[in-house]
Amino acid sequence: MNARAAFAIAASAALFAVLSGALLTTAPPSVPAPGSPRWIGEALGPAGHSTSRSKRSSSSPAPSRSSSSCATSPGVQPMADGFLALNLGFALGLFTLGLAGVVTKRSLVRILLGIEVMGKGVTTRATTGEFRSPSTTNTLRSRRRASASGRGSGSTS
Amino acid sequence: MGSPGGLLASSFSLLALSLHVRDLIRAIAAFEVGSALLATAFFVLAAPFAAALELTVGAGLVAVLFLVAITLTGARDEPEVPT
Repeated sequence: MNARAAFAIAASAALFAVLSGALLTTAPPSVPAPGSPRWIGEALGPAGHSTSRSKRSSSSPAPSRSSSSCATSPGVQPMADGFLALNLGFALGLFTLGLAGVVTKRSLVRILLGIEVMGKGVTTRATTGEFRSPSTTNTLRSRRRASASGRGSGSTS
Repeated sequence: MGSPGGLLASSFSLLALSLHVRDLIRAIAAFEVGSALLATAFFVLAAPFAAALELTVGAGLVAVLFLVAITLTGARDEPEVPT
């Protein structure tokens, strides 16, 4: 493996890690379902530090929410749980492994296998990002339910 | 083994093995088992649709296509790198 291939692998792995962190710390939608966790750190651990979201909510008061944890404006707490970090590490490892296979191997079958392994890493990362503990609801499902109920109440009123 | 961490670790090991084993048939077999373990991890992670897709496409269809391609071309081993 030459220096250019090593640099490409390291840069792509770092990009994958940065994008994963950015997706993980993306603020949740403004209309969460009542009683459901609005982001993964809320479901997995205690509320984190305050961010610009809390500053915005302090300047303009947010509408009242039914859940007390939502009213505290949890902010963004990246990788609060070891389980989440472990799964994201495996996803990053799979992506890097596949990328190394794509860059270094000469056989076409190996290159295709590397692409498949990269795809598995991305799938693992997406699955980990949407994981909730069994006691909580799925965020996407709760968001759809909340938006559907909002549309339904809007059409009736 | 039943935890997602153990399943992901086993899957990672088998997928890494599939990229480094010299025999392509064994590489595809390791890839298939690794994909199946990854699908099991997805089931444990409460993602049944991703697991079903991974199991049918990743572990089934892709592996069969690879095996057919290797059988048709007759390239079972990785070619030697000329020195």
